[in-house]
Amino acid sequence: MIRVDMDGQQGVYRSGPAFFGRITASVTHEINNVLSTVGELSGLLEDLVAAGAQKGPIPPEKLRHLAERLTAQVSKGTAIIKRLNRFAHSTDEPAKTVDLGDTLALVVALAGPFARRKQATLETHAAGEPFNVQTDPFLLEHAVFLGLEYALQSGDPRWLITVSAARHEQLAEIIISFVPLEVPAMTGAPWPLLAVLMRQLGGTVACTSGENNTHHLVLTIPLTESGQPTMAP
Amino acid sequence: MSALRVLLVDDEEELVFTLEERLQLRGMCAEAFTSGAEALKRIAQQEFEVIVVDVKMPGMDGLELLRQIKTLRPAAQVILLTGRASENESRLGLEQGAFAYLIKPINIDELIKKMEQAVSRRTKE
Repeated sequence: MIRVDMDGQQGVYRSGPAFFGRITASVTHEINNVLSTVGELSGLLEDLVAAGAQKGPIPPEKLRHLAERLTAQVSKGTAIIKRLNRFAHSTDEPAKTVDLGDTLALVVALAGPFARRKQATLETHAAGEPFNVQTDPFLLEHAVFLGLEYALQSGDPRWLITVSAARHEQLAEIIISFVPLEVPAMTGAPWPLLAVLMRQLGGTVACTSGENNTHHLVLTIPLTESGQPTMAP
Repeated sequence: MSALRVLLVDDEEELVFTLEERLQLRGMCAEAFTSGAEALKRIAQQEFEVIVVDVKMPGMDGLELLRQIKTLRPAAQVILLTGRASENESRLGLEQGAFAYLIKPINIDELIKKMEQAVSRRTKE
């Protein structure tokens, strides 16, 4: 096991807004794509109505299919906006009790477009009963995102990147597993910042290698500020 | 006059296939693809007067695809589609031979106007 202990104070002050900006830019790009698609679908409907004036009425089946396609885009847009809203509210309080599984699922969804650009796939793996942690939700999301970014930078995109959570006495472990293209260097971005964020969360970061060349980035945080577990809702 | 042959490439599946349908309704021979690699295979088989390419795509991005199109089919006119954040890349695309770029969400009349201008330039060349 390689312990990471680096001083990454430089740039930490700007890192929070920068992370927030990157996520917002990515999500608004997704929303723009949904709106563009809705625009084209409604344009297609207008085109069909215009063509129908000469060629006869639009077949009901065609109309039903178009309505379904529009509804699917609205659902997609709604899900994207809900994610952005949840993410934005994670800055509300510096300490909050959160379901760790839900938080990981949110970060994985937010990191989805970054993974798709690298043609990689991210997945959360539920392990055991859901459990809560009392932490700074925004810092935790930032740390997990940096971990995923590291896995995306170092990982072979042909292999799935998985994120799971486990509970060990007073600690919660977040494990990001990936197969690297080569032995990953634990220097340079995002290591110093990740190390600082984990210290701020009262936790640690480490990287281990396992079977079949799978590497595990392990982020460990206390379950609560007092070290006592909390009950899942 | 034969129908305009247009190829569209965008990883947003629903968007690109809807645009394909709208251009076909206007009498164009439009074909849509969701990746640069698939599009290149088709471009190698068939000549298209205008190729519309999204800049941000996984795998081969729009600028790389533009370079490969210009090698394979120098006469093809390429129109880039972009978001506000990728406008600088699109300007770079103009330097690399793209005819024009449009910012999403696009207006189909504006796209068709650009296509007509592109075909006119191709004819002059």
